[in-house]
Amino acid sequence: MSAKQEHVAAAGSRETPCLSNQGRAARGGGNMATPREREAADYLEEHKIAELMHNLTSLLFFHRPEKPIPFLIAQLEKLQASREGATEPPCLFDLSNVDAVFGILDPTGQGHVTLVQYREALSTLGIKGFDDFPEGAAADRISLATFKREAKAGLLRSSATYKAV
Amino acid sequence: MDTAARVRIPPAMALYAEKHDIFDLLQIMVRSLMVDKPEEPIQYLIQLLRRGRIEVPHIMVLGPPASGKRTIARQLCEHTRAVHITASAVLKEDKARLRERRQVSTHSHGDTPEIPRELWIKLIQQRLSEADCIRRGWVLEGIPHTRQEALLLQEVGIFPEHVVMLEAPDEILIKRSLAKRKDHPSKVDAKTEQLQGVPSEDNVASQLIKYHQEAHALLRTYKNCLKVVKSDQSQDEVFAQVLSHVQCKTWPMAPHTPRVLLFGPPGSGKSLQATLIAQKYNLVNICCGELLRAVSADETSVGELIKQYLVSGEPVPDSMVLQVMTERLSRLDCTSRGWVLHGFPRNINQAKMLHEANFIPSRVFFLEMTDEVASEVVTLRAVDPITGERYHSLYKPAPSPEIEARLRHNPQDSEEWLQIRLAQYSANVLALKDTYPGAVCVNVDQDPHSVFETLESWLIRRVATTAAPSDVEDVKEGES
Repeated sequence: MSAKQEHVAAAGSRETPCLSNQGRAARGGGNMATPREREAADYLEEHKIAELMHNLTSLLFFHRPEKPIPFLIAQLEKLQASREGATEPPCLFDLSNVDAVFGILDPTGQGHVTLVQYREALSTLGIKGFDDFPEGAAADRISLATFKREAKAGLLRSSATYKAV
Repeated sequence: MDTAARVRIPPAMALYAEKHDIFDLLQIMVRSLMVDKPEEPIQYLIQLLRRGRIEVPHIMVLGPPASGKRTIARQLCEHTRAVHITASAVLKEDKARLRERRQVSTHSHGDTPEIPRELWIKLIQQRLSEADCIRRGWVLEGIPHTRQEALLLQEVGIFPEHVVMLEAPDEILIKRSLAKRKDHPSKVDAKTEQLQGVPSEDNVASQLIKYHQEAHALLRTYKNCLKVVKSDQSQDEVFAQVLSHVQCKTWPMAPHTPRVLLFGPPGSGKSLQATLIAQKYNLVNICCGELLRAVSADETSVGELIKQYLVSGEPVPDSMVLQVMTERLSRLDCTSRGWVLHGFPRNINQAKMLHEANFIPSRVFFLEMTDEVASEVVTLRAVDPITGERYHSLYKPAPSPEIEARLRHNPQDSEEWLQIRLAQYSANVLALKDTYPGAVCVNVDQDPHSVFETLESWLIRRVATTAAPSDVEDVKEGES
């Protein structure tokens, strides 16, 4: 299952280097970036365009539909619907994947994983900004429930690639 | 979870991306977003994708007066079903719409209206953002006139995919302008005694001078997508050149992983060409024989098996070769940089297996030479064991007798072995040519650098992905 993420992330990041470069150049440039460039960078960040493109590309490469354009339209419509609160946004990983990851980390079925494993696993799933010290961190035992909760919240965040309503 | 080691992108993904031009699609989506910056990007993207034809023509036809821009623009529009936009058309429509706010000067000379530049750009932008232009694309004739106009257009997000600049010697242009005047006797404007829309002789000369001043700057502005076409040839030829330029897609920024297969009899220069190509385009050079020898030197089980075959001189079984080959080709350096492969596949069975493993080459070349030439090249070649230099009795003789004395010949280069290898090659080559219908045959009975240039020209050309595979073409030196 981790193969999915690796392949897709590697292939996806190959296709969207321009976006991250653009953002970095305009933001980090300071005095160097013209006002138009800054506008552009701000727009990209505000509407989470880079993440949107990244997610769309990942979905495309994983599913490899015969007709990419209708597929993209469908995904975008799902995203739009989720924004209005109706459903969940389209995401490459679902809860069964989260369970599977936990299962790999905890083959003996103890019901918990170490803090390091928890952090590694969530970053592999592409989740940023998760809770670094969740419940059970002190005892170095992150339970399945905590893991699932953080993973689910993180996945939701990374798929909701639109400006907050 | 060890994510750093051995990330392998399955070739299926790269092939899919190439086949459906995913990068171009994404690029267009992002570009439109950046230009229009809509408040609702998701909705905007849905509409953009729903429109169907994502890539519409955006062409500018520039040139001095009387160079035939109108004819070319009209022909292009017929061919591509784009909308034809001329300066006067924009003005006319605008006049009809904004009768109250008439800021347009009525004393216009020739085609250049005397209206303030910003307003002019705004008018163009309005026209181009109408539904028919968005849906079908546009061909701008004679717009922009100057570099400043071009830059202003770019600022509002109007930039062409292709620009055609027509060119002709001044005398011809002047002759044509005057001929136009004679052809339209009914258009004499009573007020100014000037032919309506057709300038007088002095006017033509001054317009030409103004044009030449601007042309140079415009050339610079659009140099990436511009092509200069001589319009003092026959109408059909001019149009043919223009059309071929417009139809070739601009070189994309998509990750470009060329996958090249080189076939050829022994002595045809496969290794040399492969090295040259790999060096210039930063591809991974894979020679099947070398790869097998390298693997057999490893102390793996596969290596041991292969060593036995190499030692005994029998050909290594197809399945083993394929195993070694797929392992090598799936490594990250091959998938990200692309590869040049020679010495494999040797027969149709290997070719099929390669195809099933999803390693589809993007360019296939058959290097051709007659058997006699092959024999000459191969049997007379030798290596100096101390310096590693390769010499040839006829083409590159050893410079001194001592070197000559120590030259060694590869036993596989002997006449008998060569005949065996040639026979093997010719037995398989026809079937292989059938497997790769888009392959290009190159005659290598010339110096290696000409061969390299020919191969390069085919590497660089973008092949039509949706067109039917072309037949095997013969490319000889001098023709292209």
